Amino acid sequence: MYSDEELKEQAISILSFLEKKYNYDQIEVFLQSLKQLQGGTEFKTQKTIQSSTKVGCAIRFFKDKKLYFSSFSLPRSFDDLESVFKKNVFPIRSKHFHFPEISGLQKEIKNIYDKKISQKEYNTILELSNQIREIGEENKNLILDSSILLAEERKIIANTTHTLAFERGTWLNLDFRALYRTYDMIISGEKHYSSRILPKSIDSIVDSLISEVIQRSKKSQKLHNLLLPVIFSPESFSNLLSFILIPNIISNANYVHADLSKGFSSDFNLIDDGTVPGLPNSTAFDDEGIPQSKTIVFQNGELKNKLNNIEESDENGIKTGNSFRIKKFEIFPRNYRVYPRVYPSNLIIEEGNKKFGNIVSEFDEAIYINAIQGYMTANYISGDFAISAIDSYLIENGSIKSTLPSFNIKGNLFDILHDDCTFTKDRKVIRPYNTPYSFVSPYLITKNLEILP
Amino acid sequence: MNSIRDISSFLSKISKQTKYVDLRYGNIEERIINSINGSIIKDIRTAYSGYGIRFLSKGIISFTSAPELQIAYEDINKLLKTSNIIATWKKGVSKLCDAPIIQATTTKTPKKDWENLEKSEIKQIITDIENYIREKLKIKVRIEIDLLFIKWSEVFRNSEGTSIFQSYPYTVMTLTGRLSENGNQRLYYKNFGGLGGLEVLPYDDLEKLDEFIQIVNNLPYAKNVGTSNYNVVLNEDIAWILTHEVLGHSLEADNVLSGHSFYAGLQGMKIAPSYVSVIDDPYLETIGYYEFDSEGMKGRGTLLVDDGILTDFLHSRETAAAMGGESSANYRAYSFEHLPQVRMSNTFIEPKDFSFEELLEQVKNGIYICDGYGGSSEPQTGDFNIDSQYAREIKNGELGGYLRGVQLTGKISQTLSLIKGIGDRLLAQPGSCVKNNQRIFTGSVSPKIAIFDQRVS
Repeated sequence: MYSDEELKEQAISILSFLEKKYNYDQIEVFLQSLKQLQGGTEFKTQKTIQSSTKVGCAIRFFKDKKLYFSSFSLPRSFDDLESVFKKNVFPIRSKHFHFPEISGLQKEIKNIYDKKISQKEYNTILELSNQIREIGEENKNLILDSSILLAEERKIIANTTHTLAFERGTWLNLDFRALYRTYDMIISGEKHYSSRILPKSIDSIVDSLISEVIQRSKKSQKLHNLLLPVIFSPESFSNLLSFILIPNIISNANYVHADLSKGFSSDFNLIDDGTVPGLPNSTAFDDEGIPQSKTIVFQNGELKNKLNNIEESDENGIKTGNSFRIKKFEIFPRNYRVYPRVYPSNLIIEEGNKKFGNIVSEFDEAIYINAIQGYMTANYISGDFAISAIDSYLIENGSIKSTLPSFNIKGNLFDILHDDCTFTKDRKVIRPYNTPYSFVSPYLITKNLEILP
Repeated sequence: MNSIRDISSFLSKISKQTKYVDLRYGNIEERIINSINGSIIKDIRTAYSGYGIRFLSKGIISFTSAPELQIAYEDINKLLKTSNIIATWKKGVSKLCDAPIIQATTTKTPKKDWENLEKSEIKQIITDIENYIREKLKIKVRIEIDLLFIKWSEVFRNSEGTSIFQSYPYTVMTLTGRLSENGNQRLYYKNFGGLGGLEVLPYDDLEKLDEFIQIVNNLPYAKNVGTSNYNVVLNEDIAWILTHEVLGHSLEADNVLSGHSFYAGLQGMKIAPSYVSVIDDPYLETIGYYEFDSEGMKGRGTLLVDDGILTDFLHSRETAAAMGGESSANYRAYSFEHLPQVRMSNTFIEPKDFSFEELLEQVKNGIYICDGYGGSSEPQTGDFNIDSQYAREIKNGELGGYLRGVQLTGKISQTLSLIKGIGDRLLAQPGSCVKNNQRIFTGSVSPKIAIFDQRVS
């Protein structure tokens, strides 16, 4: 396996080779080394333990002021490299820009690095598996499955400014799935947890999953009153935001965006922050070598800044450091093979004044929605959505009572955020399925949704 | 790639420490071209290669992937120690069923190889498709043409003496019509292509794009559907999603063994009407085609549901050993980087004798639901939720106006019992499937089907 120094030398030698061989006016070399360990439990037994090592390189360069991109796995000889560059490829449609001068090597690693994960010890996976197995065995009607991934990524960015960024980061992904069997039904539930560091304990995550599936096994009640206030869990609120709001806060010249000039409620404040220790998408640099930063996106309901990368920002404008090479459907979603695009890092929504429990206690009757489906069909230009609430509860006389059968809801997220939103004081870290970014999200309370039984 | 001699000596070294070992060396080249309104905006080429090694020791299966054999060797030694620890905690029970020793080479060559095309020729293909669509479009819409070219090859060797080389080309074109109007957006997309080179695209027969154009032309006029139970006809794509997502995944033996299948314990039982049979067949020359799976088993068709009776599950050598059967050659991974899983190839409901007109006539008044747009299912309960891209009214047995995308919900056991008619021809399109964060190609193959009393919203 390559040492840190060997990886840096490799990046520099590829850059030097390209500079000497071809007279390109600008070159960027992105090198990624990724080591992953996977395991977990399935049906009360150990899952197959897997390890994988991936090393690869992506190159961007300008030739005749046109941008090109190619990637290949390593090790590869320089002869192979030449053959990659001889291929007939089209340029990427982009304005001319300059790769940035990178300020230095990774200075601050505590945000993104966990020594125990980095050691890549198989025992860490076995210890976690055993903890999960023991919790699962406490309840005989429960099957608790888990997938555990430990990853260490080293990335190097070198470019024609002859500066270089090096970063070593760690990543933990835990997926839990509980099957709860009663005499006449099977209930399932899932929880996902991603972080840069190992949590002190996984008990609270597993406990909340178990209590959710057991709660869902309680007798369901038909929904009679269709004019009730609705509380969205942080998970379901984040899923709505992910498909409706997020496309509109990302700079992308190729796509039409919603007109958000009307603004939202002054209670809605949103910050993108890639510097918070432990959050899933905190890194020292983005994938173009720009330091991660804190960007105010919405302040008092007003859109202040969109997120960008070098390609999507003005030459002398603010660089928010949001360029990431994201491969969807991979557990650790970064991959050198993918062209860098703008993605959020960690989106932090400002908390409200009251705790979730207090808000619930104030309602005579309301609906609490824990999980939704169908949000992929939401319209990010108009803000309209039509979703199914697949895990929801009736709140009666100040407490969560019976479960509700699936029902549909129609609404407009922009209208909700404009004048029909209250946020709780308690927030959760959520990484919506198949996204590289995370939310720190409160519960959302809204009153004017169309409920279709 | 290391030499054959290096690979042989590596396998021999590992087999002395294990009960079984197999090795896959893969080489994949991918090219993705994106265009908007006829202008190419991105052309990305990538090439990657490496090794995936699986081994069985003390009843425990482990897997490693690495770019070089030396790195893999270091990991294997660590994994062997871990197997020992696990074996002392809980006895390993994994076994592989018997398999024949095979020496084979399978190569599918594209008739029109994209590698040999000049840039100007690729540009011309995109321009011609764009122009053909534009000539027939009646509305202002953005057209996106995305091309995906893949050259996939893999060497498979195992400690039992099997040695296989496979090489397949894939070509997929995704057409998207995106309408932005009055602060609103509607889109429709369709995949074309499959196993082969440029010849699998509709380039020489552009009239195949007419249906796409007609649907895009009607996007602005599509109406909403009220939530209710309807008699419906599903077109091939959404019928495939129902078969694949809801029924097919429940018939994968790894899901059955791990408690994630509604159909566990129902083998030999009646699960659908007598006129419903379900088949998995890797030999249909779609994007789901393969001759050998990722553990060197020769593909064979599997009759999963025979005249309504659940007859079989999809198996790997490991699940077949656990359930006392034979492998159905469905242990698959897209690349050497992943441990294979039990996956479908081309899974479809067997076509029967209803023409499209007869299906519409049978439904009489209802909805024709078309082309999937995602969804989810719970394999252990059979609950599902599938979105369509668009729909059409059925009035007096004939197609009526266009409707916006709808959502189908239900329970597969009930939905299968409500199938009232099955179309007389299969349509194959490129499809894909994600299971445990691994994406793989599968053929989207199905006839149209009619279902009565289906919940639609």
